[in-house]
Amino acid sequence: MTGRLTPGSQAEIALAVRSVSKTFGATRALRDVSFDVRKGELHALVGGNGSGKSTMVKILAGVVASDPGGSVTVFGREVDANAITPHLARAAGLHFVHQDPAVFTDMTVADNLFLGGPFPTGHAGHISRRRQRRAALDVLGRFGVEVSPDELMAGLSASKRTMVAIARALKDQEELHSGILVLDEPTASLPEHEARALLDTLRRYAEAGQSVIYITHHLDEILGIADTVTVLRDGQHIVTRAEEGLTEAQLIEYIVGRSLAEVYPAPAAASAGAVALELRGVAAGPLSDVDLTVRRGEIVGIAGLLGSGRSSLLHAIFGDHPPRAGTMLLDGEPLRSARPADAIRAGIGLVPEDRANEAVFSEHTVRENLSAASTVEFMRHGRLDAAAEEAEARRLITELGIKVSSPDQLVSALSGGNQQKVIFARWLRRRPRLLLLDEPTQGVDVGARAEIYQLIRRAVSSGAAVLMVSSDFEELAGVCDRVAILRRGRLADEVTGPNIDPTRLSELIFAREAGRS
Amino acid sequence: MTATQTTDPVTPTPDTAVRRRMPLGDLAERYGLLVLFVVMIVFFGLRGSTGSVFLSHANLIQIVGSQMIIILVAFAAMLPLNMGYFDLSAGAAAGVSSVACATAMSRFHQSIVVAVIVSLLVGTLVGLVNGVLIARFKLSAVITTLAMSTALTGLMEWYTAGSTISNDIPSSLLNFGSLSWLGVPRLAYVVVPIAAIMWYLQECRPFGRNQRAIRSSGKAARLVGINVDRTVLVSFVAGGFIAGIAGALLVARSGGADSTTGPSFLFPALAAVFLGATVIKPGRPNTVGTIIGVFFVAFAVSGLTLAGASAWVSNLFNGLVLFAAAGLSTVFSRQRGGTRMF
Repeated sequence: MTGRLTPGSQAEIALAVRSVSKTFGATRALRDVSFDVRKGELHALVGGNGSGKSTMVKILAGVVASDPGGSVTVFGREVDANAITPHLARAAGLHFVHQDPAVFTDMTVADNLFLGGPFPTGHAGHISRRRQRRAALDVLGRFGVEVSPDELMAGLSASKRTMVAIARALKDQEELHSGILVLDEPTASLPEHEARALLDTLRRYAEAGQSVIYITHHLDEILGIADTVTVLRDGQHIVTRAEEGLTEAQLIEYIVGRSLAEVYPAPAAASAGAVALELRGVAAGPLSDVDLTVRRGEIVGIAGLLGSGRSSLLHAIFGDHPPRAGTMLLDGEPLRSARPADAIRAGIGLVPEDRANEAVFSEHTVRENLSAASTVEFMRHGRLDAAAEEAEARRLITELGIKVSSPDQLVSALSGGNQQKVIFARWLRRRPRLLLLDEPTQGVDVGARAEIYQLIRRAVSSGAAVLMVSSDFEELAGVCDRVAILRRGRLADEVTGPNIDPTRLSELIFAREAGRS
Repeated sequence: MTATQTTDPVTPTPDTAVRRRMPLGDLAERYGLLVLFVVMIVFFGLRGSTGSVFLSHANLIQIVGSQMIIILVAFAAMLPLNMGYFDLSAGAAAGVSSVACATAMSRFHQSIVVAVIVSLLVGTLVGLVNGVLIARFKLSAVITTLAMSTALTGLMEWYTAGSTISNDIPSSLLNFGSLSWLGVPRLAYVVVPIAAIMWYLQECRPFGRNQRAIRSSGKAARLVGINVDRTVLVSFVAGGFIAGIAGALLVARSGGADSTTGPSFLFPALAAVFLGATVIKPGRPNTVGTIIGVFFVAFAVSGLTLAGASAWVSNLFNGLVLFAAAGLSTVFSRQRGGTRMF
């Protein structure tokens, strides 16, 4: 075994990708991509939605065959890129942890580690609990995961669960300093502090000699963390460079391809109008006694930890889980939403957090998704008028710049950012009085994100009030006129205008939380 | 580089370009079963031993007439299936309705009108109980309707004691079940308008769109303002009502009611719905497809029987069709971004 090498030195090349291309029908997902990953480095693979980074990972994993012509060299062993099989990848020392790794929450850590086999067995061929436990302790110890093998997965934090999944992927690897670990958006479903814990673990692995490639959307998970960054855009390799000296502006420019002088829109002239939404003493989910007002033309953000009741508040206003107590007024009139249909009639729209399960109808066309909250409007002479529906869909597609080839394309074929624009269009076409946004840019690339901020601004300037939940403090600071801080089930603080900055928001949420406990 | 792509190689641009699937594949998908249907008819029609009988007017009338009730049971099962909810009690609901209908005339000497109303009420009641348990109390649809089907079958066995209730059924009802008007079985005059209403509900009303939205994601459906619970309840009640009509027509067709006929319609009906989900609107159950599915199976079984196969062929064929249909419809549904159809 080679000795440990510090990243940044003239290190051994762990993985060399050469001239890899991939064509899906008429679209080229990857064109002639080449880059190196050195041994023992933490390598971020970045790019907007549709940039080809997931395809790259799938080719490395042998799940998708590349076009002929490319090659991949793993620790000096060269293979044709189109000849990789999952077995070959594994044998070469490539290990993969996919997005939302399959963990079984009602089973123990040890069970989860050995699901998919081979199970440690006794003499009779039965699964030996004792041996499994011992083997699990060994794996957890080797990869520094501080959990007990007997614990139920359900009891672990999200980052610990991911770490168990990583240990499962690596378990047949003898030592930490061989091999290449590839993670597809490992932090996508983690709250920020958990993501941080996971990245710290990855950093430790890299320092021990493991080569780690990870895909992420969050720029702050690259800057100050990764050793090397590879950026793909539209299937092409843009750059592979050291993180050192890389600024956020530069990185955005690599990803988007144009300088985003303003990712965040200029704040509107402070012309907040009459009170649109007023909450008095509202209790919902873990929240109680919430007083909050949102004015017309105002964007109010809600900051709080996961589980602080951020989403419950939005769902309470929307009538999905009506509040336990309190009064809600919309434009001065009592808002009684017993179910979402009532809230929609009252002029409220909700963009939910879980786009795939709660917003998008994946088997339906873009047209049907756009009109989903307004089907009745398209009734003509007792039947749904497809022509009117399609005309409206075309109008919205042009107006919001949704990238589709036809209104009758399936929404599931769209990128995350474009799906989110469809959901926005679904509500914006109703000219909502109040728009509730739950993590509106989750899983959306930087370019589309800027467009979504424009949409929010536009809704506000046409008179809507916006209440927006986000875990991204940069985003809250960049977009909101006012941010309400949720802590311990209460609305604890409010930050206005120029005082909103990400550090201040984190302080308000984390520091005092710790201070009180 | 266009490689072997035969479709429009131009990169799609927003608004103008239309996404073109391979048109031939699309057509094959949409009408594949219909083509197969025609091939089968030509095969049995031209085959020396079966041809003359297979295409005779008497045989056609016989097949069409006998399938009318299965079409209704298939509609009853399709209403919840549109939302991805199974109804395994559609056959038993038709059966218990038929027993109630026959009993009203045979044992209580009621008029046809009263007997039909009883049949409709019984069917609707079954649907209502299913609907309340599933929509209101969130019980699993498969388990609930399986339990319902088993319980109803037991109830019928007890009440009929294994015999057929056929005394004193008015001959006008029996004529309605077996005779034709203008060369078309009289039962069709009931079934065709119901099919039209089903088609209208499913393809032209928000109701059909809402049902599909629920199948795609119940949670998302709720969050765009669809009253999911009510849609589920209404679908089961409407399915029960149609099973009730099927029950009344069953008495007319078979001249009585017993405990086994109704439940035996479930599997042909389900096979038809699944098979129907592979044509016209591939990937989802649809009215026209279901009717095609029913007749496809019926004609195939008739042809095979005429060619010398015995009674077992019908079950075997239904089973194989269910396999093929479940597989194909899943493939089509997956192509459309779904996962499994049901």
